[in-house]
Amino acid sequence: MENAKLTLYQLFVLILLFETGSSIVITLGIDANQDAWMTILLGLALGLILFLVYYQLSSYYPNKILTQYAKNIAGPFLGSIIGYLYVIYFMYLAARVLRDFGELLLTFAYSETPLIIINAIMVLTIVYGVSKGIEVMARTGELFFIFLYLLAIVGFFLILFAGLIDINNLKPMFANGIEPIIKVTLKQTMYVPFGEVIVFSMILPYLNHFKKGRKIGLYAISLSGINLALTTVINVAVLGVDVNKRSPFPLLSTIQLIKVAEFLERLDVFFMLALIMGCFFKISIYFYASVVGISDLLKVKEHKKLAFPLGIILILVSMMIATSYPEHIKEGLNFVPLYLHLPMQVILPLFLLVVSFFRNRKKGTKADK
Amino acid sequence: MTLPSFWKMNRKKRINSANREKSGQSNDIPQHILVTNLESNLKILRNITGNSSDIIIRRLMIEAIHRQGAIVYLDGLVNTDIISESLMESLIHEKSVMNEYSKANLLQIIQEKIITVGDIKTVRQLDELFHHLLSGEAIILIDGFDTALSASTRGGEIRQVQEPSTELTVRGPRDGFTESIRTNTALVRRRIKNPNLWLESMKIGKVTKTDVNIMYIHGIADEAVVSEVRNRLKKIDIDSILESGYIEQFIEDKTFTIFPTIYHSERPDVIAANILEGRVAIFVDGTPFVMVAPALFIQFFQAAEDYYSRSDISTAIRFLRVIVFFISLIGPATYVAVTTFHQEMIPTLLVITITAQREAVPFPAIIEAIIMEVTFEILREAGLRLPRPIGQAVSIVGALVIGQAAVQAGLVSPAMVIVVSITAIASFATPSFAIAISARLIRFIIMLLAAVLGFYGVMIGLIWIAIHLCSLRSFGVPYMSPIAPLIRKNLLDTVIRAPIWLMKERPRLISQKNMNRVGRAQYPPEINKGEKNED
Amino acid sequence: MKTKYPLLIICIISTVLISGCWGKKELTDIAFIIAVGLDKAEDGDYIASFQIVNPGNVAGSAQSGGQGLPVAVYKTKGKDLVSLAKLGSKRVSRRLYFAHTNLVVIGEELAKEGMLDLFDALERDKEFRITTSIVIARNGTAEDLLKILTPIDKIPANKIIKTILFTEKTIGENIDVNVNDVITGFVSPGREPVINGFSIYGDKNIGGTMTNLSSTEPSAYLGANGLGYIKNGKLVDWVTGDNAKTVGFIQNKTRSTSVQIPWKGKENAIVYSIQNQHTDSKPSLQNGKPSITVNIQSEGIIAQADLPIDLTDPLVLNKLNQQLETAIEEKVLQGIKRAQKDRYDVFGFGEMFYRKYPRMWNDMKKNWNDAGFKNLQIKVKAKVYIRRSELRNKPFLSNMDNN
Repeated sequence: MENAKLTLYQLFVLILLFETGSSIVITLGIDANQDAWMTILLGLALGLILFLVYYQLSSYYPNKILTQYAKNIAGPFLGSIIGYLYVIYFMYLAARVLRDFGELLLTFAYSETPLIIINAIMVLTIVYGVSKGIEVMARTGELFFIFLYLLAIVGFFLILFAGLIDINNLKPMFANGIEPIIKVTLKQTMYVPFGEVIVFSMILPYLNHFKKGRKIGLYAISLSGINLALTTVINVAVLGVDVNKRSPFPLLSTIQLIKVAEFLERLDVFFMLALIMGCFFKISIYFYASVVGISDLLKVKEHKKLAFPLGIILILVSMMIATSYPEHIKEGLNFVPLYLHLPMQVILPLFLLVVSFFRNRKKGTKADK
Repeated sequence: MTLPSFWKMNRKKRINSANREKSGQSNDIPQHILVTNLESNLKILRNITGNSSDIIIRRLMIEAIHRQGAIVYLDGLVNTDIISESLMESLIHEKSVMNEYSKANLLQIIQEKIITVGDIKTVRQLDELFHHLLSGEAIILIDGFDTALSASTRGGEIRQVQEPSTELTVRGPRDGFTESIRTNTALVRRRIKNPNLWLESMKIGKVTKTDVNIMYIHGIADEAVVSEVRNRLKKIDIDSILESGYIEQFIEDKTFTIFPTIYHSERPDVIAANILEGRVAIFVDGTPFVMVAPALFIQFFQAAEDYYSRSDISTAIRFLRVIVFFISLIGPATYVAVTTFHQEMIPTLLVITITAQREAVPFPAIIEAIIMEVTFEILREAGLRLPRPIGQAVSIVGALVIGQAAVQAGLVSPAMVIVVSITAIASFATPSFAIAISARLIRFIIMLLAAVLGFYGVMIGLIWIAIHLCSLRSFGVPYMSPIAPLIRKNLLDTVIRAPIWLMKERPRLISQKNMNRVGRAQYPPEINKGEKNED
Repeated sequence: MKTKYPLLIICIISTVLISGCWGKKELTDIAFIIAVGLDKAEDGDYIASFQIVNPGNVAGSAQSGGQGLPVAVYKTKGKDLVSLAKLGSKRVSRRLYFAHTNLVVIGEELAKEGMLDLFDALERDKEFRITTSIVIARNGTAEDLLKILTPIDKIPANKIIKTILFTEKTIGENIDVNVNDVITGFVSPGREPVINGFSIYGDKNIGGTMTNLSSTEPSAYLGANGLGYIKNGKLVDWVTGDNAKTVGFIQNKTRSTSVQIPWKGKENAIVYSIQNQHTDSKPSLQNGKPSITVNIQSEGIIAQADLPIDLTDPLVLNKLNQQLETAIEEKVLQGIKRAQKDRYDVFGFGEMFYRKYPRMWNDMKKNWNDAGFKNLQIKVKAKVYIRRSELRNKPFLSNMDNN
C-alpha cells in the first residue's frame, strides 16, 4: 500500500478513462446487430451492481486492498491464493489490452514495425508512470481527461456535420427479439468493460472521502457506459451493421468517412491519439494493481522496485498469449469471459462478500466503520 | 560481475571528496574582536584587507568626548555626502559633553546623542565589522573602546529604477528591480503597506557573504513553506552567491528536471502579487531577479498584464499562450511525423506540393529538421551576444537570408523553413523565459521520437512529460495544481482569467488558512438607473 | 532509483533508436497514385493502370520547371489485385502509395463480367480509403480514360471527382458513389448499387499527349455519362436523363435540377429550377400487398418563361405548381418502372421494408428483385413550391404582345 490520497474527482477520472479506454475502439456487443447499444446499456446496469459488490467489500475493510482483505476473509492461506489469482488475472488482462493496442497500431499505422517494439515503448512509459505512484497517475489522468473529452466532442460534431449519421441503420429495433440482447450481454458486455471495475478494489482504499466514493464510482461507470453506447449507436448509424460486424475497429472506419468542408478529412490520426491515451490508462491501472498486489503479497516495501521487472514480464506475456490477432480475439470472446471473467469478476467477489457479510454480522456493528 | 564493483568504487570516491570539501571554505579571520587601542585596530584592519587602497581611513578628533577616532569606509560603496555632512560634521563639531556624562557610557552617548546618521549599530566581532564595512557602512573606531560603531551610509553607484528589459508590458507599472537589495525590498514595501509583510535577512556564501532577504505576509503564507524556505537557505554551503540562480539550484525540489520549480521575475508588481497569494519572495543582493516559491506550472503562462486588462481579452490571450506552447513543443516533430509516417493525413494537394519541394532536398526530413533547428539555436545565441543595434538586425536578416539561401541551395525545403520559423516565434511568445528554454530542449527529444515512430512517438513523449510534470512538487505543493489535482475554485485563474470579482479565493494549496481575497457582491453594478439617452 | 536502472533504460532505448526506423516513408520515396484503373485482358488477367502524380509538375510555384506532364500512367498485368500492386514496383521507381487514391475506374468490359472480386482488397487494405470514388469507363477501357489530360485540372482524376460532385448538385443525373456505398449495396438484399459512367469524347489517341492541352477545344475530353445499374456485381444497364434523376431524387442526393413543362400549347414553355428538394419514401401494406409511397417536396424558382404569363399572380403559380407536380410524378414513376422492368431495386425500397416490417421482410428478401420489387405498387406524390421568379416577374414577351 502506498502512502497516497486520491480525490473523488481523480477517482472519477480514473474509472472513466479505464472503462472507456480501449473499449471505445473495439466492437462491443455487435453480435446483437443493430441492438448492440442496448446490450451495452444492459451490461452497464449489471456492471453497476457488480461495482456495488466491490465497493461493499472495500467498505468492510477500509484501507485494505483486495489482496489484503482476501486474507482477512478467507484465512491467510486461502486468502493469499486468492490474492495471487487476482494478481495473475490483472497481469494477464494488462497483457491482453497491451496486445490489443499493439495489434491495432500495427494494423492501420505501423505495419512494418515489430510488435514487440511498440509494446515495449508503451510498457516503458507505463513503468515510469507506475513507479511514480497512483497519485501521479491520477493527476496525469486529470490532464489527459480534458484533452480526450475535447477530442471526443469535436469528433462527434464532425461526424454530425459530415452528415454521415443515418438513423435508419439502427432500425428495426428488436429485430430478433430480446433474446439475443440478453445473450450477448451475459456473454460479453457485462464483463468487458463493466465488470473490469474490479481492478479498482486495489485503488479504492486510497480515496480521501471513502463514503462518497460509491456515488462517484456509479456516476463514472454510468457516464462511461453512456459514452460507449453512444459510440456504438454512431458506429452502427454511420457504417451499417454489416461493416460493423466485419471491422475489428469500427470507430476507425467511421472516422475515415468524415469529410467536412473539403479540408477536415483523413482524421485517422486523432483516433490514434485517443487510442494511445485510453489504452495507456487502462494498461497502467491493471499493471499498477498487479504490481501493488505482488509487492503486498511478497512483502516488498516499495512497489517501485518491482515495476521495471514486472514490466518486462508484461511485454513478454503480451507477445506470448496468442500467435495471431484472430486467435487473440477468439480467445477473448469464447474462452476468457466464461473461464476468467465470470469466476473472477462475479463468483469470487460474491463469495467473498457473502463470507465477509456474515463475519461482520458476527462482530456486530463494529466493522461498519 | 564487474558492474556492481564499478559503481561501489565510484561511491567511495565521491564520499571522500565530499568530506574534503566541507571544511576550509570560510576565510579565517584570525582574531575575532577589536582591541581598545585605536592604532592596533587600524593596523589589524589594514593587515586583513592587505592595505587595499579603496579603504579610506579618516582620523579625526571627536570633540564631544575628547578622544581620537577614525572613520573607516570603502570608497565607492558609501554615500560621501552623508559621511562628510552628517557623520564627520557631527563628530567633529559637536561641543564637548564631557562634563555632563560619566565615562562609562560614552559610547552610548555618541551613538545616541552625537551622531546624526540614521542607522547606528555597535560592532565587536571582526567578521561582523567587515561585513558592515564591505556593505558600504562607515565604521567609527574610537580610541579606548573595543567596540566600534557602524553607521549606515550606503550609497555608491547603482542602477536607476527603470523598466525591466525582459518583461515589458503595455499597461502596468514601469519600475523594475535593480541590483540593490534594499531598493528592491522597498519597491515591494511600497505596494504592500501592511505591517504583516515580514522581512528576514541572512547572509549566504562563505566568501561573498551575499545579503539574502525573504519576504512573506504573515497570516497568509503557509508557515510550513516559510520555515522550509528558511531551512533550505540556511543549509546552503558554497563560497559565492552571485545571482539568485545559484540559490535556485540549491533550494529547488528536484534537480534533474527540465521544468523550473521556482518562479522569478524582475517586476515588483508581479512579486507583490505572488506574495499576496501566500508565496515567499527571496531577494538576493546583486541581481534584479527576485525568486518566488512555491511555483506552479501554470504561473509560467501568466503575465502581469493579464490582470490589468479586461478578462475576455486576457482569457483569449491565455488560450493563445497554451496553443503557442504546444506549437513550440511539437511543431517540428509533427511536421516530421506527418511527412514520414502519416502522409495520408495531409490533404492530397498539399502533400503533392510538399513532395515537389522535397524533390530537390537530399536529406530525410528529420535531418533537415535538425539542421534547421540547430541553425536557429545558433542564430539565437549569436543574437544575444551581439550589441543591441547590430544584434536585432543580424537575427532577423540572418534568419531570412539563411533560410532563403538554404532553400535555394537545395539544402532544406521551404515548408521546413516555415515550420521552424513558426516554432521559433512561438517559443518567443511564451511569457516566461524559463519555460521557453525547457520547451526548446524538449522539442529536440520529441523530434527524435517522431523520427523513429511518428505520431506514436510524439504521443509517448507527451505522456512521459505529463507524468513527469505531475510528479513534480514545488515546496510540497503539486506542480500541476490547480489543474491536477483539480481544485475548481482556483481554475478561474489558469487558462482562463475570470473577472477579478469572481476570483474569490487564493490558491488553496499555497495559502491554506487565509483564503478569501474578494469580499461579497463585488460584481460591477448594473447600470439600469440613470441612463442618459438624450442631452 | 539507483544509478543502474537509468543506464539500463538508456541502453534499451538506444537500441530502439539505433536499429533504424521501420515504417518510415520519405515523401520522395513514395509514388502518389491518384487513380487506379482496372480492366480485363483477353486471357482473363487483370490489367491495372496507375495514374501517378509527378509532384514537380503539379505544384503551383515555378519550383523546378513545370514543363513536363503532371501525371504518368503505368500498367501492370496480374491475376489478383494485390499482385497487381506489387508488380507495379517493377515499373515505378518508388513505393506505390494508395492513401491518396481518390478514384477507381473500372472498365466497362470488366464491369459487365463481374466486379465482385475487386472489392475485398480495396476494402481490407489499410492504405486504401473507402471514401474513394468509383466510376465505370463507358464505351472504353479504364486505361484510356486515365490517360486523357485535362486543360483545367492539372490532375485528371481530380476532374472526374469534382465533376461528379458538382453535377450531382446541379443536374442530378449522377450521384457521388464511393467504395463504401458500393460494398454496402452489394451486401444489402434490399438495395442494389449504382455506379457513375464516364466517357471519353473525341479522339482518345491525342488525348494522352500535350497536344490535347494546346488548343482551346481539347481533342479529347472526359464527361459524365449516365448511371450504371449493378446487379450481383455485374453491370447490367445504363440509364441517363430523367431515369437517372429518379435515383438521385429517391436517395435524396439531388439538390437541384430543372423541370420543363408545356404551357398553353407551347412545348417546354416554362422551366422550373429546383433549388432544394427532399424526398421521403414510406413503405406500407395495401390490402396485404407491399406498396411504396414516394413523397417529393421541392422548392424552386421559375428560371425561364418563354411566353406571356402573369407570374405575379399566385393563382397562376398554383396552376403551374399543379402542372409541375404532375410532370415530376410522371417522370419519377417512369424511372421507377424502368428499374422494375429490369428487376433491380436501386432505390433501397427493400431496405425500407426491412426496417418497418422485419418479419415480412424475412419472407420477401429471397427474391426481392424478381418478385417483391417487380410487383411493388408505387405511388408518387410531388409537392412543388414556386418561391420566386428571380429578377423579373413578368417575361418581356408579355409586354411584347401588348404592343
